[in-house]
Amino acid sequence: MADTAARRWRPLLLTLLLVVAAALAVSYLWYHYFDQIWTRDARVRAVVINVAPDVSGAITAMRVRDNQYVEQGDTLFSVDPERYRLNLAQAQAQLAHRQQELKLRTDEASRRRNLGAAVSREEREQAVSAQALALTDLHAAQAAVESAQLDMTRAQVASPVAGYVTHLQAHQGDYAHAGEPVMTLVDARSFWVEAYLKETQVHRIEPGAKARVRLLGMKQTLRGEVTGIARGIANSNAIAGGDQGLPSVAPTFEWVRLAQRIPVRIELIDAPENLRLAAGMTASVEIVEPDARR
Amino acid sequence: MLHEINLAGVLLPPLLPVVVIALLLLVPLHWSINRVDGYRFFWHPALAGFCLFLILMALILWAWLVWSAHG
Repeated sequence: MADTAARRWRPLLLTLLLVVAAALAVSYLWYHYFDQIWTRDARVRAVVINVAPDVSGAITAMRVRDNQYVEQGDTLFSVDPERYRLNLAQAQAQLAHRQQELKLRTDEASRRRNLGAAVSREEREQAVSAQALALTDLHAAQAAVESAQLDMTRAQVASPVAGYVTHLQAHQGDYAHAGEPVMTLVDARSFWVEAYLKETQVHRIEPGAKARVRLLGMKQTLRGEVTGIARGIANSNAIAGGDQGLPSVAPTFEWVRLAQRIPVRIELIDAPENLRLAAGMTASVEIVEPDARR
Repeated sequence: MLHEINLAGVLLPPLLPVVVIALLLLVPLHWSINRVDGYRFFWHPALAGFCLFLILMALILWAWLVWSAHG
C-alpha cells in the first residue's frame, strides 16, 4: 500500500525538484545576463583636433605622412611665407620711418623750447604734441613689426599635441585658408571608452567604479574606471523642428518602451604599451559594483 | 566577463552561443535518458526536458564566467 503511494508521488516530487533547480538556474541566468551592468554597446573615443593654419597661403611643405605619430611642437606643414616676409620688411621700414620721425619731432621740440620768447607759446605746444604723436606712431609701428613676425612664425604650423595624423587630405601645393582645418590629429594620450548603458542601471553606477573592458577581437580584458556619467542626451521629442521653432513631439507609445542609453566615460588603467586603439572601435564593458551580490 | 561574439564578422549577443551549446548538449542527454527510459521517473517528460535545458544554460554561462575570470 505505502509502496504504491510512493510510486505515485515519486515522479511528481522528482519533477518538482527539477523545476526548483531550473528556477534557480533561471535566476542565475537573469542576474548575470540582464541584471549585471554590462553592455556590448561601447565605443573607443579620443580627443580629435582639427589643425588649421593661422595664416593663409599655399602649403609649401607637408612634413608629415598620414597616420604618422607626431610629438607636441613638431612642425606639421609650412605655409608659403613670402608674403609675410614682405609684410615684415614693410613693417620694419615703417618702424625705421617712425623712429626717424620721432627723432625729428624731438629735435624740433627741444629747439623750440630753447628759443624761449622768440617763438610763440602755441608753436612750442604744437611741437611738444607732435613729439608725443610721433612716439605713439612709433609704438604702433613696433606692434606692426611684432605682428608681422608672428605671421612669419605662424607660417610654420606646429602640432598642438602629441598624437596621430589622421585622414590627411591636404598636400603640398594645396591652398590653406586661415582658420580652416587642414588636417586632423588624434590626441595619443586621450583615449577613453564610452559605454552606452541603460538608464535603468545607470543609477547604480558611481564615478570611480571599476570596469572591465574587452575590445572586439581582443582576447585580453582591460581594466578601467568610471570617470564620469553624461548629464544629458538628445531628446528626440524636444528638438526644434522647422515649424516656428516648436518641438515636434513623437507619437505616444503604447505598451513597449525601450530604455534610453546614457554614455558613461571609462578611462583605461594600465593599458598595455602595444595596445593600438583607434577612435570608433567597438568594446564590451562590464561595470563592477562594489556591493555585487555573487 | 560577457562580451560580443564575432562569428565571421557578424557580431552576436553572448546569450546566443549559450543557447546553441545548451541545445547541442541537450540532444545526447535527451537521447541517453530516453534509452534507459529515464523519463518514467518524471511526471511530465517534456517539462523535465525543458528544466534540463535551463539548467544546462545556467551551467554553460557559469562555465563561461569562471573561465573568462581566470583567462
